[in-house]
Amino acid sequence: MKFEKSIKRLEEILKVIESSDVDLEKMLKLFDEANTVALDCQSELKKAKAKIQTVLDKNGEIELNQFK
Amino acid sequence: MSAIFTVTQVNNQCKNILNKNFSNIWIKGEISRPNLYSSGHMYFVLKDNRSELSCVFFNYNKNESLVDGLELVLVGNLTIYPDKGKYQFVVKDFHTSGLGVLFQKYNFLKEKLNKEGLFNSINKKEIPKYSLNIGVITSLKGAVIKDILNILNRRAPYTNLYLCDTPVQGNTVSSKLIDSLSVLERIKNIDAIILARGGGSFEDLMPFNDEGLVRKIYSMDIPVISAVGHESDFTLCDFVSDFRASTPSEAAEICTQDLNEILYNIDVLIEKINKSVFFKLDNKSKKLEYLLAKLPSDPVSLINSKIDKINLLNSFIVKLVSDKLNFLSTDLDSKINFLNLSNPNNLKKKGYSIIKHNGKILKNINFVHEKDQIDISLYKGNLKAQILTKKKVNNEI
Repeated sequence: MKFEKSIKRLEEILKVIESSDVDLEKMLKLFDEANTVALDCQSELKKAKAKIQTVLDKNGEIELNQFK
Repeated sequence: MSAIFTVTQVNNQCKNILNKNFSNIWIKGEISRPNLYSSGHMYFVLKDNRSELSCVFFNYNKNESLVDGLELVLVGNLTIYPDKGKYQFVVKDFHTSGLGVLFQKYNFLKEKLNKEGLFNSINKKEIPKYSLNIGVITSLKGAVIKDILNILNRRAPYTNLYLCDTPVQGNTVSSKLIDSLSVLERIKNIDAIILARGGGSFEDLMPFNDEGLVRKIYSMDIPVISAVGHESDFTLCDFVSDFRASTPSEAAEICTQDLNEILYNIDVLIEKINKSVFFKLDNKSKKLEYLLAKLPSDPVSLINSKIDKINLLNSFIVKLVSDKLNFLSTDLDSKINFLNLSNPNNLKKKGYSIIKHNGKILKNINFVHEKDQIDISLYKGNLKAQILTKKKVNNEI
């Protein structure tokens, strides 16, 4: 759940930036981080293509096959 | 005085109470006066040896013909028809009384497992909102898997699916379901498992009331979503699962987030972060401008004027100290001169001498007599002399 973590991180960053005592240097670092995280997450989601596989237990070994 | 209700209010409130407390209940009894109306609704009375209950089965679609005296177990909701204030049981499904034994077993097991805490909400695992890997246990031949695939394809094309083709009809269903759960458990990173089946009769759904299957679901570390039967059907799998979905589509929706919603949420978060940063930067910039405005327009001339002032003060202090030193020096010189003038040797140098009589300086002739011995101290050398005569002089020194 990588993008769940990304969204949580963005929520954390927003909370810190909105707090009154964050210093300028830290705020700009977090700002950069937030934009990098968001871009990575968005591009990952847009290009994600799900795999649909069937699962079989063949004599104790798991066999995965593309679902048709 | 208590409030006065209208008839409608009373009927509506009673309806709410009944809906809340008597939904999806099971009632056993004997059928009486069945009547199928042209509207397609079946009306009858269910009774035992002491009481009767009016029942209606809307859009009756069962093959069984209902006849007087037939023993039935009904499933449905008790309600009030507010227009007439008539209390009735709305039947969703029924089973012939041969099912009574199965139903008793179901109830017995449900109570036993409930007492053990298997259905306790405290033990339920949270369903992840953003599942990336979902296991699905169902028959791949039915409509259920199509519903799930449609939903996930439209809503969460980022989600990987692991499909366990498992029969959901027949004698071996429960053990096959347990096997499928065990297989999915061995695949890493599965976020949630959907256990799904379409609607069916009470007997059809009985495998989903199997004690072994219920215990297996309870022991799973991966959250299990149950989507078995219709919304009105409740199996023990539904009770033990971490979430009971009313349809397979709902099961697919509950463990995923719509891709467009996720992208929108990220946009919203970034916009909020950007706004907050720009707001803070703007504030800091205004503060800086305010401080700059308080500075003089030409700081170099300000510094030069301060240096001039310091130099002026410095020269003033130097002059003060110098004057003081001069004064002290002059004073010292005059004191030295005075001392020099008062030095007896300097006087002797000029020809003055000191006369002592009996060791004391002689300043008056009254203190000596003729023939007294006196000592005379000159600049160079001393004399011893004798008084020959005394003569008073008026201008005494």
